[in-house]
Amino acid sequence: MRPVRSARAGRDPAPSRLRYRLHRFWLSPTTRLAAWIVPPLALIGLGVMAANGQPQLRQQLMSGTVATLAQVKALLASPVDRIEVFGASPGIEARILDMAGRSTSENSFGLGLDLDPLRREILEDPAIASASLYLRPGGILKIKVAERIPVAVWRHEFGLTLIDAAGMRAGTLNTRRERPDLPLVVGEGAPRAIGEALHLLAIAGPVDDRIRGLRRVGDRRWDLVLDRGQVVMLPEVNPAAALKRVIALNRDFRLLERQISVADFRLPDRPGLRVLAETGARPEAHAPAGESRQISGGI
Amino acid sequence: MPGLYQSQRLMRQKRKAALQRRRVAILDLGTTKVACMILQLAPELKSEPIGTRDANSFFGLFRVIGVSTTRSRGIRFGEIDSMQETERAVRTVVQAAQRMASVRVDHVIACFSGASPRSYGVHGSTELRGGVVTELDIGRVIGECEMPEQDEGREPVHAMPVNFQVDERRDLVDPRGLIGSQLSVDMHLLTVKKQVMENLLNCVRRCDLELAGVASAAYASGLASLVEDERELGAVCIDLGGGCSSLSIFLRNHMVFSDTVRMGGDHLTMDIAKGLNVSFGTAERLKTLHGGVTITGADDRELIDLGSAGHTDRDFRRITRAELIGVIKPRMEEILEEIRNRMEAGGLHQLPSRRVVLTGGGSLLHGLDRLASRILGHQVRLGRPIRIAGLPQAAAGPAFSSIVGLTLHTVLPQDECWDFRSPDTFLDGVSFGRVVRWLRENW
Repeated sequence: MRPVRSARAGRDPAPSRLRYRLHRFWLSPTTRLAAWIVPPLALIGLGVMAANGQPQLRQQLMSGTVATLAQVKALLASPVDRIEVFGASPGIEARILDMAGRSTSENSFGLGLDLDPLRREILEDPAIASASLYLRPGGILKIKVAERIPVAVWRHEFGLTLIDAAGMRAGTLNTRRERPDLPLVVGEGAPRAIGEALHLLAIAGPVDDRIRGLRRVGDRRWDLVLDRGQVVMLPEVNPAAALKRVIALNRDFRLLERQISVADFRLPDRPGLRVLAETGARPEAHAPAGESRQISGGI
Repeated sequence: MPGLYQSQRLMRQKRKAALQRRRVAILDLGTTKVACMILQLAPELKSEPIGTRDANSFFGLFRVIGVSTTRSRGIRFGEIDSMQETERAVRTVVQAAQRMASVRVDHVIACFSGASPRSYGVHGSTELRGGVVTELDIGRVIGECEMPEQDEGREPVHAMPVNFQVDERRDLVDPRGLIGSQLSVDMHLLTVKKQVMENLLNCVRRCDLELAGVASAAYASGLASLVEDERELGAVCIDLGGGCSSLSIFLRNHMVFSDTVRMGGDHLTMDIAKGLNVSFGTAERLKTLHGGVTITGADDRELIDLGSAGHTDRDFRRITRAELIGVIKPRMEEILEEIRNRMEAGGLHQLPSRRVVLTGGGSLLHGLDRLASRILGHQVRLGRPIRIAGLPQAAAGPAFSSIVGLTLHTVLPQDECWDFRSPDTFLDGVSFGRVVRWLRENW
């Protein structure tokens, strides 16, 4: 059935005066601004009022606030009364504790303590690779350090120094006897080539008991120094291959047990041997040119 | 003419306040439609523009940010007939435009086409005291113009200084700073019924808005649809509106004559509705879709279905297009002939270029330009309003030429909005100069 009056015809498109005024009121700049400011403020206000109305919730909130405030206050005011060191060996730990104790006694207020100078002081110790410092509530200063691990002893004109795998100083020694487990390197520039030295020492494992150390010559090549004053001179380029050859010769011909003072392998195609003269050369210890040729041909 | 001066000044102040807000609503109260635009004005827009204007000077000065149109209610012959209905229509458009712009406007500049405007040319002349034309002199010479003798209850809408004359030099646009001894001015004064203006003011006030300016729709249409050369060399703009058709004659960038014929497109619709016995809505549809003014042979064969939207629900009549045109044409001829008479009275034959530009919703009638050139006997073209920034395509047709022109008038008003120094001295009846002279003589 057709409606008697269509809905469209009955509607007046004109807004009523009230709606018109409300729309204008809504569009006025002050109202627009207020619409952005008033509701958030009202929400906050309502929240505060609701919390105020419930005594239990209010008490909880108050106590929570008081506790947090107390914590902050404690953190701000408490002096450092305990220092914890992680990751350091006993000797180093003692040194760090000493440093930190001096630093905190100079400036004893927790958050007022500037940790940077202390950290720098700790890092000055050659045995320490990295350090991180934290202040924990309750006056605890936590120091985490990572030590350098020495891999070799470097003897130089001023004494003995421990070297880590990266060639950095990892401490000093008074006598060689303190760390007999570490290999000895000498010569200028030895720490820079410490990686190569360790490799060479690993290759020279079969004659381990005879090794005195490695000598860096002219900051460019290595000499392997054995006991009885024997020296194996290694080339600048590819010393590992040359040393492997020496070890092989030693294994097959007992080369290093013979009466030779120097085995010169600096040139790979012209190896040479220097025979000990003073002790009186025995015939089998003397390596003639022909044998030398034979050796070089054999390898 | 102190009253004119004061009312112009008041309107100028309101307009200034509106421009300072950077937002103003433009309202066109037509007989067929009520349209509203909200303008966002650029900050570099000066409040006192002076001199000539061209299409480029509008560039970047303003932007339309809200447009709305609704069917007109309560307006007949371009005059407010029912206050409540008109108020509703204004509320509808203003609210819709505000919603589109999402800003609120307080100031309205309105134009209307009816109110039986009358054009007068008035003349004023004064002696130059300082030898150089100053703004004070211009204010004074405008004050010297004698008001035409007219019946009671009319109010000036436009009072444009069309022509300044310093001694024997004529046709000056801006005489300030020129040297001479005698300054005279020709003004074009357009008056309308005071009652209509007051109704308009009241209607706008009832919508919580403030009227910041009024303009004649004929003037506004001319601004929008005449090109610069036409305004300079002389042309007639005929705005074929719904309730009345208005014409304005432009010369040297000023409107020099304006008149209104109280007949328009609604009369065509009424004739169709009566002659073909259909409803008003159907008649409007027939007019806009199939209307025309020239009958050709094909029109006898073209059948128009009145359809079920006819007078009753079961109206299956068919008419030929020739019948429809037969109804439209005589009325259109009558309107154009009436316009021709008014044009002749306005002195169109004196213009150097007698160009006629048809605009307004009625100018969309098919073939009207040929009929018009036959009756008006001049070069006729159909004019569209110039494009302004932000105006949607739907509001860019000739039916919107008066509202577009009103925006241009708002942004760059012509000379009647110059803020000349107030000649308060002679408004009070005692010349300030005389006081000074008296003091000098007696002390």
